Amino acid sequence: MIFNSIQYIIFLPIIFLLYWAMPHKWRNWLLLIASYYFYMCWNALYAILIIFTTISTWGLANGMENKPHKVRKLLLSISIILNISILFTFKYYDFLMTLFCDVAGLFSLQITPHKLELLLPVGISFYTFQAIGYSIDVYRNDIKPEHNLGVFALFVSFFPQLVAGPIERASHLLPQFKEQKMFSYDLFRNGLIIILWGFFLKLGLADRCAIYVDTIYNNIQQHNGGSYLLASLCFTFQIYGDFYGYSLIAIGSAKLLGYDMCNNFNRPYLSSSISEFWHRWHISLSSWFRDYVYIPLGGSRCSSFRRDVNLMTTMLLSGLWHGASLNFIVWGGMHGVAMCIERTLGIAKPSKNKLVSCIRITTCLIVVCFLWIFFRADTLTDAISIIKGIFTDFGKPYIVWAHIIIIGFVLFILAIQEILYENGFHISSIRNVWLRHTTRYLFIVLTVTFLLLFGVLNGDQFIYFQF
Amino acid sequence: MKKVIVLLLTVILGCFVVDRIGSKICDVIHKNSDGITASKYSHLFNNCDEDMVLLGTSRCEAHYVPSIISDSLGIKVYNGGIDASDNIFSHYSALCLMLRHHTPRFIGLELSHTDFAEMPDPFNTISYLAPYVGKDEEVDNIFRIAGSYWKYQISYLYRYNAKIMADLAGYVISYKDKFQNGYLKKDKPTMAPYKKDTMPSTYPVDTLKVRYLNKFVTKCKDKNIQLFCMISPSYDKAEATTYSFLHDWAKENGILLLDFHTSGLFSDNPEMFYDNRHLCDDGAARYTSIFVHTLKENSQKKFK
Repeated sequence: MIFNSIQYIIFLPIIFLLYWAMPHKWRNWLLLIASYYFYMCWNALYAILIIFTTISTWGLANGMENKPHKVRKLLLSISIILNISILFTFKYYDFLMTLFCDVAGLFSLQITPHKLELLLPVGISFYTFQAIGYSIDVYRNDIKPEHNLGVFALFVSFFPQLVAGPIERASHLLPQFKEQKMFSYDLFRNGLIIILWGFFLKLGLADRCAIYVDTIYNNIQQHNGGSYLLASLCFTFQIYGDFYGYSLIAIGSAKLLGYDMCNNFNRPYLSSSISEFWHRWHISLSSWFRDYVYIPLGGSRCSSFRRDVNLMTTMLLSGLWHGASLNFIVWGGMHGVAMCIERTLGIAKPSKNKLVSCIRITTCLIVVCFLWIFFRADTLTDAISIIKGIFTDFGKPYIVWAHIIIIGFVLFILAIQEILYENGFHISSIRNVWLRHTTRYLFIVLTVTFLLLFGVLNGDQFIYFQF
Repeated sequence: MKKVIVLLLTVILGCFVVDRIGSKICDVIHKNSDGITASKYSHLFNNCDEDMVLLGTSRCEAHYVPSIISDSLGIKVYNGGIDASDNIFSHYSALCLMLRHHTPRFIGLELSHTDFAEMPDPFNTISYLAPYVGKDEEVDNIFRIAGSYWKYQISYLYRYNAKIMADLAGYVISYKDKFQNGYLKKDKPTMAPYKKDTMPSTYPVDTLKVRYLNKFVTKCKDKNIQLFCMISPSYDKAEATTYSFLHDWAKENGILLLDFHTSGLFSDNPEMFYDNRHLCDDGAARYTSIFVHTLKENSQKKFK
């Protein structure tokens, strides 16, 4: 089941009504059943993997309680190895096996890769990382282990964030499952508006961009550099609308049920450096890598060489997390290189000078847009061909005006929203009650109208589902 | 809970009102637009009075020059090929909607493998005809089979989804002037054909599409329309058996099928092509002359 499907539009209100009609003690069970149903709609068999991750992580974390440091470390290692093994088997085995055989081929060793060719479980990287994060938190004594298996199972599988995050921290989400929730009209209304805005970004921006991007990227030999450039720019907005849209629908859905989830985006394309970009883009993942990889490696409190090594390691792993392909490793690695350069030049932090800031934002956007080419291209060779095409075969781009106008209109709306937000305006700040309500209703009705007229409503997947 | 119900009811009512009023506005825009698809639909479904109408995809639209056919046969011809209407469901819908106001004497149906073969999305691009939901029971049935009819019943505005921009663009760029009786010339072969591909020798047959091919034939017979079919040249090579199904089907139904693709017309003349699937203007003019000559030779019915 995906968010932009009729099934979800029916599923969510049913769960919402049952949830609030039910006594508190049954609500977690309802959510747990709903979450597993949500996942099993995609593939029932693969729910076994979530169950295994849940039970092993829960058992080993509980085993750490009041145990000596050595035992705790051993249990943590087992927990991480188990989780990573599943991830490795399903996501990375075939890739690394092929890579190994290719490298062996360079030395004239002919080895046929033995591939498993397993279907990649949706959301495996997300729930695995959430479970690993929990284990490390327990090991560090940042949180106490959760004794209730049902609550922990819900933490791992909570349906709004199960398949594409945000990757929640146990300290933030787990306590919320124990609170007695009271229905709040404000939360409901805000949740609804957030969901609607998520759909606006996904169906109005991302999927509209996707039509053009797919046309170009899936037929690169038939297009020129101008088209590549326009498609890459469109992909920059597609992936933003797709993932931010997903995150908003997840956050809004959780809000309807009285849960607060962490924000995953903070206007990333207005970052003035790549370092800042990673503080604003997929915040839950970048903070995960910061807390569980970068800082344990030594972080930035060491020599500049060591810091750069730590940074590169983290970013290469971040790239690999996104997908088992050389493209993602190169994409992550190049982000790492950009961040190392920024830190060496001392331009990682925002400037107070508006002109300098403006130049840096533009430069950063260009770099991010350029690096998305590696992310979107099917292979590394395709990515290189596209970049080569942009610089050597620049011609009149293939343009579908209807798409471009709709995308332009959506970006215009986003810009207006940003300006209003920047100046502290939001609907709840309108003092006149009648005007406030009317504005809200108008916003909802106009957004629905826009989606009916311009939204791509054929249920395309979210990009991050593949991770 | 009272507030929630008020909010939901207000939103639903507001959306319903905007949907119905908005769809009326979109309908007016669509009917009066000179956009690439809207202007063609408008002519076919409202103003068509030609003796011969050619139906099909963009290949039909770009391959048949009506003036050449008219000069040769002495009848009025309209090229009703529509870009992206790439399956028999679209052609059959166009036929039904046209027959509501006009019955031509001759219909030429440009066919391709997409009209009989199994495809991942058999109803691909049928949504182009969504503004005509509710106008003809046969067309509605196709949408029912496609599974999208109920969506268009809930939201009338959704019928214009993604089409309204092209319709509005029609007020700025008029395709009415660019069409020559429905023929849209592809100026020059800027995108010369790419590497020549060979089409598969056989395709798995979609029985639903075959049913609609037969319905198309029956409809024409009922209205006493002489139907002929054609497969125009393509730069990609067709195997001798690629269109075997269509040849057998035509034979079974007593329909003239002119297959210029399997015979390899222009296959060694890349300069005739705009891309692998479409002829350029020069190619279209030369092909139309050959086509009309062959048609005259093979047709049993007099054209005048």
